[in-house]
Amino acid sequence: MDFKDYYAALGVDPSADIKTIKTAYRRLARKYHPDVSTEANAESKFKDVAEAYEVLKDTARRAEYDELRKYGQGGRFEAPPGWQPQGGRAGAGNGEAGAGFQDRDYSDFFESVFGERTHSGPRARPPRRGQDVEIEVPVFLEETLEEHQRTISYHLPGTVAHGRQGAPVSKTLKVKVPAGVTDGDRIRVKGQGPAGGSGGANGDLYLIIRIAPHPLFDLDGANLLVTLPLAPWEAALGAKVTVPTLTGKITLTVPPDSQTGQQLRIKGKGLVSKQGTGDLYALIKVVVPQQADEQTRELWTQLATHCAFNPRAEWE
Amino acid sequence: MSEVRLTLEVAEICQYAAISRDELFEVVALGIISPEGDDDGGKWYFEPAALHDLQRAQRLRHDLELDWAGIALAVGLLDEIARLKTENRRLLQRLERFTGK
Repeated sequence: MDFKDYYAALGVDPSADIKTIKTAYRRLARKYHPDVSTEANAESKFKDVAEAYEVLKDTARRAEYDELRKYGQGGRFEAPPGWQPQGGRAGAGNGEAGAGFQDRDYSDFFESVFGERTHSGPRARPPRRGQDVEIEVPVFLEETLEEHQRTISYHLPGTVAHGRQGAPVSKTLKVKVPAGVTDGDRIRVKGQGPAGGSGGANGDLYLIIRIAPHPLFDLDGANLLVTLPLAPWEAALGAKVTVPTLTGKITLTVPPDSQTGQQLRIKGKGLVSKQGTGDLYALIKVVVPQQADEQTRELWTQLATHCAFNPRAEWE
Repeated sequence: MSEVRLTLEVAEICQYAAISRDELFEVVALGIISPEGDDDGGKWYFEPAALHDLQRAQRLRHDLELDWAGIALAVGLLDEIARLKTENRRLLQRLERFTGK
């Protein structure tokens, strides 16, 4: 395996004091933390930084590491024969709080130097609750109007037996998706996650709702928006037009003298939410017919002459 | 049919996130997560999103070595950024649809 240069990972000199190391870690942690960072490869960079800090912040581990640096840098690493690690163990179940910290994924190098060594076979561990599993569930906008049933298929990691990971287990589940769900909503299905370690309780399954973009409608809270193209005479004279909604077509009356950008409210044709049902807004967009023939041009010219309308009066 | 959309009680969220009741009260007081139910703390319950937010807050607290007050600010800003990004995306989409790109 490759030797890890922890000082380089934190960008500090090998003689740096603990304060410098702490500051360097905090600066880099903030930059690359996966929950926060927008950098490319944030997760792997953070892993390197966190691992380096885990070693260098602890006096005993740092001392051990400095010893090892003499043996092999910038290349393959082999622990010298008979070498026994003295310092603190990582992930030694020291009661550190929070799910997942003790399950941090360390490099091979770290594990071989600082990892737990079981000298006398597998230890009995206390029962641990299984991990929670998340899956994304795509939902159409139309489906959010009412509570509906859904069959979900997913995989759980296989159980570990005799130290080996089993094949993934395929599962299906019928769930009720409530009305009015929005993108990012989490639905918890208790006990449907993987089994816990040492006979612990199952973890939970979380369904994350993902609303598929609709070909016609845009969202604005619980309201929907649709662009309504009108011919110039329809806007000028008014018209009755057919407008699509989530629940079928309706007839809308466009008043005369309508303008591009005006919104016509269609009550109750929006999305369902806790506060009731939102509305659908038809956004007027006047469109000019293209490739007019000779006669059409004539008609337009007559209109232009007759109307004496200046839309740019403000600019004068 | 499996149970869905279960909310979490105080004891459950403390167990799942491995924090004490006192620490939970502090986290709620700082506004990092918000319970539904009565104010006295005895009848609180939490939406599943709250557990997710709490676990994220814990990861940040551990990894960035900040205190809860610092985390409260960070998390508040992260949520605002996410909200603004969504709004931005939606407005751009509306604009594109309207101008017919």
